[in-house]
Amino acid sequence: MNFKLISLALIGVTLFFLVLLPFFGSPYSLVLLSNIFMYVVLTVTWVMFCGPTGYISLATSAFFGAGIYTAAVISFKVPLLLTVLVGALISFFLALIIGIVSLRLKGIYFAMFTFGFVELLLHFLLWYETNITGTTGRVVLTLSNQTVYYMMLALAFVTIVFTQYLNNSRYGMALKSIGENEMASEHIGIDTAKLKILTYCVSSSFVGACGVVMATRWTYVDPKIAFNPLYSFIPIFMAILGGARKLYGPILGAIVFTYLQEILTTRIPYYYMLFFGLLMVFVITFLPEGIVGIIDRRLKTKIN
Amino acid sequence: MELLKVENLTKSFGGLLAIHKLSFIVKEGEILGLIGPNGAGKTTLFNLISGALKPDKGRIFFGDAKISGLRPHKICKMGISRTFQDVKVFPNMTVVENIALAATFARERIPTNEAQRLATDLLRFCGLIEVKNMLARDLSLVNQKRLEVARALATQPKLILLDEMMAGLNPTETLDAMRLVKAIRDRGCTVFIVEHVLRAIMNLCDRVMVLHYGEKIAEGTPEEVCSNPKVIEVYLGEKYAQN
Repeated sequence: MNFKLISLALIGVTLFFLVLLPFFGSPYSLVLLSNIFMYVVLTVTWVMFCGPTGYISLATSAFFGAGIYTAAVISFKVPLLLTVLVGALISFFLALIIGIVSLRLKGIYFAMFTFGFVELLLHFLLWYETNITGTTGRVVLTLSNQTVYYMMLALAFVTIVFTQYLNNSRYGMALKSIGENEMASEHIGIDTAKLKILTYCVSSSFVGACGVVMATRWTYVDPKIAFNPLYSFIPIFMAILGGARKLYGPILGAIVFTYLQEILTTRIPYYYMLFFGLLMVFVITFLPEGIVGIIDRRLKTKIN
Repeated sequence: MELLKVENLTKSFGGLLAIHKLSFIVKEGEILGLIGPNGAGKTTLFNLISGALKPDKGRIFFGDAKISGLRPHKICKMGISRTFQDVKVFPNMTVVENIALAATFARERIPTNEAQRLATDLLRFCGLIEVKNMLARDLSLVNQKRLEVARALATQPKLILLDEMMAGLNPTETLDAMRLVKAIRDRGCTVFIVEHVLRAIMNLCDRVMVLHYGEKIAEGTPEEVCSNPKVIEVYLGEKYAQN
């Protein structure tokens, strides 16, 4: 009870500080934090579905790209919030398609399917742009740093609250049971197909919304920028770094990773990916449960 | 009163005929035993009834409702529950979580406190109260098997399918398991049990059915079945008959 109060107070203070930041923070801090929020959304939504069920989705960049492209196509014509909603909806339906088609795929097959889906979308759009519309890229509406910051803060907040709520509900437990033994969970009355697909769709729509907002930072996008497969892999790295067992794991992973990336791209621009490669190898070998694992072990030894 | 009716059920895997034109009924309130050599199609039959597999031909009725072709979660909600030969507990959940999850999903909108009460009742019923907060993967085999039974009962079934729940248990544990099966029936749940432990089948079952290569070769009281020459030939062996 005490612990819960303290953490609630901490969250409240952090949130208060974050909401007021644009009034005293530097423009750079807003940009950096928006970036962090983006990765928090991508990572937390990835863990929302893939963490408990054990299904490895590599389609994050498809949903992210769908959001970016939605922004590119309609951001000048309709209000921002509507664009966000449309981006979320399109990602929802893309996830629905993936979910229905790949329902029976497990393990590596599901991962390969989702990865292939991103490539399919990318090349379909490239073909469409060159052959039908005759364009090669699109200009996106530009928003102020402050607007992007607040949108991303809100989105990250909603994502985290939703995930927390889901994890504590009976559906969170049911998702976990799918990862533990899918056949058994079907046999105790859980509609595993529906639960998997719905969770996947909802988590993906957050990614789509995120894509819409972040697209406004690029001013110009083409299919190759929008559907960059890196956005499928980075959230997984972040989840591994932070540890996917607890909700604060992916959040911490996203924060640490994004911050490191910021520093390293300026200090060692040519070798920073090398550093991340080494970091990943180290974390997977020695910290299979990520940062969460270290903190948990510390807490346990303290209690004992 | 027939609870489950199977008509002309057929299932093959590639060229292998696992179940062939099988018809039988399960009566309400009985303990029906199913025996047969390995590969006779016993587990396949359970998979067909529980919805894990779809039959090629034939129909299965539960009460008045046709259930063949339905998905497992639907069949579970209608009142058929099962355990697995190769234990399928949720290893990283605690014992009580395993049971409570089944209780909350098998019936629509069961209140949390009622699910908790049911879980506690089943912990006691299956002798798991002392290990209730342990992770399922840390349990001994016998307790994992008990947990499977408890989880199956948490869905409040009218019919429970028990697939070799006594395999790998020592004599004392087998006796306990037999007591548990009797108690399940006394709770008002019909039992359909696959078992190689013949002593258990003889003691527990009201009727026994024998499968061989997917076909029913005998059916009747345990005594009738055991004196059936065909059953002795394919399953029990001459030695058993002499005893």
